[in-house]
Amino acid sequence: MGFKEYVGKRTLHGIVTIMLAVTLNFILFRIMPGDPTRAVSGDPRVDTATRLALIAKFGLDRPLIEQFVLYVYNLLRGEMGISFVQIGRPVIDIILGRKMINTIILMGSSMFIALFLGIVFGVIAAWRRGTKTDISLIVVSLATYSMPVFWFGMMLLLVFSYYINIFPIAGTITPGIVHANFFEYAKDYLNHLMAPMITLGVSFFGGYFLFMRDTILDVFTEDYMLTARAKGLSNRKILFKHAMRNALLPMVSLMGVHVTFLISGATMTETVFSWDGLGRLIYDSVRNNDYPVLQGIFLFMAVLVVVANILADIVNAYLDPRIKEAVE
Amino acid sequence: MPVIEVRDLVTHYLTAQGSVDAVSGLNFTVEKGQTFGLAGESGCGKTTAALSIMGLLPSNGRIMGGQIIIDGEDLLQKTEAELKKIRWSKVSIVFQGAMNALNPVLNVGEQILEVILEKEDVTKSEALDRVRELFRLVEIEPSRIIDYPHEFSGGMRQRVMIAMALANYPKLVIADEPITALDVIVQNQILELMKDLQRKLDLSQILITHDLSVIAETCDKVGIMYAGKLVEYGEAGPIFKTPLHPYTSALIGAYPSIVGEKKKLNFIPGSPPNLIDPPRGCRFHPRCPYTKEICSQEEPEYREEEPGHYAACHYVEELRDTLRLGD
Amino acid sequence: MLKLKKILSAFIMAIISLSIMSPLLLSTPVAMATDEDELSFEMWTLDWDTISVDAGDVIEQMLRDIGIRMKAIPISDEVLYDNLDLEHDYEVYEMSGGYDPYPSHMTPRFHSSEIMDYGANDMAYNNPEVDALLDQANAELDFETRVELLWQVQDLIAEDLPYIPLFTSDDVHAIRKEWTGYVCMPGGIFNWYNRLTTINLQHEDQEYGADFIMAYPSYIRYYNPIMGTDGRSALIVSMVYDDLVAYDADMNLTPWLASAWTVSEDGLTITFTIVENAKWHDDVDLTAEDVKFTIDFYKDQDVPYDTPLMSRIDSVETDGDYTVIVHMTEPYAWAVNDFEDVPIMPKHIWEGKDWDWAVHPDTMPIGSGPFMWDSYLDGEWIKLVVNPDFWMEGKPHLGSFLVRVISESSARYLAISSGEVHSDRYELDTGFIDTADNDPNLAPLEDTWCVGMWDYYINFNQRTNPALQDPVVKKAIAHAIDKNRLVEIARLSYGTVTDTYITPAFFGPAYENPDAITYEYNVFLANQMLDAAGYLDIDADGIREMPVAVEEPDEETPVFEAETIEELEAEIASLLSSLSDTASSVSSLESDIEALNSRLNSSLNIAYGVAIVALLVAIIAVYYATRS
Repeated sequence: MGFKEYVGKRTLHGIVTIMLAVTLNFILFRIMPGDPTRAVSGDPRVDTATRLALIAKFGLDRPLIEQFVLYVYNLLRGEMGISFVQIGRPVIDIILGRKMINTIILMGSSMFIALFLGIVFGVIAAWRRGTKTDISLIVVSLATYSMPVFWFGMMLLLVFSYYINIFPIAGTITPGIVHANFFEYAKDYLNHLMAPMITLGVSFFGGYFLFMRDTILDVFTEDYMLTARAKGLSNRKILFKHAMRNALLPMVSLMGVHVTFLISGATMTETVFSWDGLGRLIYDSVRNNDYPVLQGIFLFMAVLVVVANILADIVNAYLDPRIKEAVE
Repeated sequence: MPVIEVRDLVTHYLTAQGSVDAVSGLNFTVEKGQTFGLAGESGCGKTTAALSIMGLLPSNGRIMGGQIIIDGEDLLQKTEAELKKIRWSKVSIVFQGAMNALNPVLNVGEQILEVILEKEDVTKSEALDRVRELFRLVEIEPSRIIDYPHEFSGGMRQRVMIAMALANYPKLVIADEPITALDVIVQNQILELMKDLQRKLDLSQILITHDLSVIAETCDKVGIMYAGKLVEYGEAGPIFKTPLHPYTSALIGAYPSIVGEKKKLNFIPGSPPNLIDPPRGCRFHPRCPYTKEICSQEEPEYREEEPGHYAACHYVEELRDTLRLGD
Repeated sequence: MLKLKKILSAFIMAIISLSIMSPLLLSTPVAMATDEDELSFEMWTLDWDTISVDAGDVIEQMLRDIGIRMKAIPISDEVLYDNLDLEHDYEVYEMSGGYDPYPSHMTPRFHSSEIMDYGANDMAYNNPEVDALLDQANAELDFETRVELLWQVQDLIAEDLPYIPLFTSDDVHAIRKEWTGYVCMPGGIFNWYNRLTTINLQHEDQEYGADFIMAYPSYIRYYNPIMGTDGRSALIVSMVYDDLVAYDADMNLTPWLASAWTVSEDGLTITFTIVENAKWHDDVDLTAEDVKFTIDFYKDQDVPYDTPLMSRIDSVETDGDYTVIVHMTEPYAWAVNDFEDVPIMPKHIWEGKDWDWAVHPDTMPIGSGPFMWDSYLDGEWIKLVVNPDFWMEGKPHLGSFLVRVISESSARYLAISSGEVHSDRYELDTGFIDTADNDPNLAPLEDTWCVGMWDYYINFNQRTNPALQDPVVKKAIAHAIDKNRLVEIARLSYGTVTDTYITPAFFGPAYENPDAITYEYNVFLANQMLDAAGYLDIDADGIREMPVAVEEPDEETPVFEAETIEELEAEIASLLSSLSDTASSVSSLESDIEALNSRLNSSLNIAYGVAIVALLVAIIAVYYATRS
């Protein structure tokens, strides 16, 4: 089987999974209690005639099966519908815009930092197993791992944005000003990015660290590690060439699965720091029962998870010659 | 001057249950160009002895005493950094079952190359040339240096391991059960290759195995270990002809000779003792068919019974004829 | 064969997992029936609203003193509102309703025409007398007569007591102390009908041109002025668009875009005079034509907003550039008030558009109000700048008004305290009141204290527990609640006790009826009332039981026993009334059937849903089973 076929097959599996996800989230959101027109009309004071008109407008008075058929039909035509709440705005515009970029930047940077630190410190802790370094790293990582993201974010906000006042309190950019050039803009953006990035990075760090440390310890028991030591290689080479490369294989698979956790972490962080991303869109849409947007985000997320897993498999195949050969 | 001399080596493992006396008093010397065979059942301390020499004991392993002298220098007095330099350039090791001893995600050439570059001041292309040469030496197509371990068969992998062991032209190669995991035909090929290389390169070897027939085939000197102790040591010929220790005799009887005629196989009843709490007296006495009261009371002295032939048994003289094997 | 087995096992797995899931999916929250013989009720509170939850807990404790178990259960708004809208089987709830600037809540909350799915008369209160009086009040042009009619309505309701008003949660705002000029009006210093704050707000050191930043919990949803009815959008809409009339600080109607108006004697003609110097933000003059266009736009497109007003408008005509004449089909008492909620839209932009045109991102909203749209970053901020051509002389004072999204309430407070923003769109959460009280950066809370628009009340569903249909029980409950204590606990005293259904503190002293029926806090009296009505704690568990039911004698076919005409008439009248009782019970039966039907429908929908999932799971299971 060629590599292309392999990817093709994985993609097919992915599509089936996405189909399932789409169906489930259609059904679940409608079975759950909550009436979007409450949120749409904004205030319970809006009169009954208005509410009835809106219910009819969104087709919510039709049988569920009819709504579903319509939804699938529209989806196949590439239409994800119009937001109930931000009336008139196509869901696709809301999702695939600035919000997505903000989230990708936040998630990407914090994940990169967490991954980098998690791997490096994981390797170091495993190498110095049982020493003070190891134990203090474990304590720190367990603390960050079990710390609620929301709480930690609030603490950062209080300390760095309120008392010390070095980070802005909210948003992705200073509101209401026009930046002189892209450099200024980027500086402003980065300044806003720091606090949420640290929050999310710290909250991810613990998990990656512990996983890496465990995997490396496993790898240490392998015969080839004994060979590497017998060869009198430097510690750096033993750790980062021989141990880490093998330990990265399960790590990559973990990353594929981890995407969902990233999103939930992002939801919390984006809410605390008013970071205008998909996470906060989820939060707002859930609160307002904005089904079309939620369906859109979940579709997006399903695609993201599936793609992440396919990517993880491909990267694994690249890293691990055994899989690569099996694939080819 | 011998290539390696090991004197009174004592290695313990510290465990939660207590100290395991894995090696207690090991002595041997290997001369240049010689092969020394270290034999014994599983768990008798052979591999621990090898790891002690390489300085690769697991974190709970402790060398409690003795000397390991290579090139007139005692390895046990060296720092870790000095040991790193000595490893592979003076003494290398071929592990049991090369299946897992090679890193699965690096190609084999790279794994040999890195150790050459680490130890010697050569250019990459010189090192690469050497890797190819080593491959030719172990009779593998040099173009296969870019292949990954899983693409080789078991025997081929062991050849790669051997090539790797020779990478820095060490004087001494320790082979820890080098052929155990292989099938019989391949075993023979590997043994032939090792003999061949030894002759060509004037190598010294320590061959660690539980299979006495292999030792009989290849070794100049033999040491027999039981429960962490050397029970018999000497030239291969006398030991196989006139073993002085009941354990040696039993061990020889337990393996078929590859070349010799068919004999009835003996097996040794019982199992090796727990080394946390070894038996008093002679450690072999619970399984020894000739055991007497003194065996469980006093530890037999390790003596030179004949010139160059050492044994540790209370009844060497009495049993000499009983143990002699027919040739 | 093996394959078939695999498929089958996958199928079975799918079905098993579905059958495990289905009870979860199908379980819809239903009000639990409590012990029917006891005065024991479940009172729902709104879980995210701490005021509702705290007040609920206190009420539960208070009612123990009169032997009533009123279990306060915080519940999510989804479940609660679904029940109010469709299921209608809750027993009691306690939360806030929300006022408009005039008492428009009376008709929807108490008129029987609102007993329907999604209707505002949640509790199904049905009193033909109230209906008639409300209809009459809505058509009564004379304010004083109308107020008297409403007083009568209040008294009738107070006798039946389908709900007990508790208090309003008052509006105290965190606003930095360097800002002045905000106007306190019932409903808060920032509110969509409080047009005075935004034009008068100024910095203490800078009379004109200061930049004000306001924190919003989330981004403005609507750029469309018609739909911008949620509080967040409405404030911005009210700054960008003008209405014909506005309210002053005492909630009296005051001229705005209409400098004057007259209502004809018969109430069928309303004439507005439009200010002559108003301009749209794109420099086009605003004329009577735009006003006519706006009203016609609502009517032509059947816009579902402001229907009480628009459905009563027959036609509009202009007289010159600055006079608009509105012809009504019937007299409507609140017509001018309702115009406060109709944003006047520029004809040259909206002509040919649909009423639900999103405006943004096609273009930015163009109105005639004191502020104009300047720039925005979707999801993060909106910047309004002052309209230099605003028709009102010397207003507004600000240079710009920036709305900034800060999602988290603590973060919003911190931002105000640190000066990154200057105030919040909404009042302080109760949890922040103490901190804000001691914050030297903020204006004293007393200065920002306005009577709140959120009126908390206890609502008794008239459909469920029979004890809740007995006014004696509800009156005893009303007597047993110490409303001052509720305000102290639930809103740290920043609240106003409400005893009537139209709160004079909010709507103005004109609505104050000194003779209104109210229930003062008197636990002794409450206990006495219950004892007298036969609600006794027979089993001595601290909870009163229902009176022992007396078998009602079967009603015989009525026989006329009258001997005089008067007696005959009286009997006929009583017969008629019993007939109308029967009719109303038939109609209530019909509504029951309808409710049952709708529940059946929703269960059918769920069944469909489960079937779809099952089918999809099966397809996927088969797919996985068959792939090699």
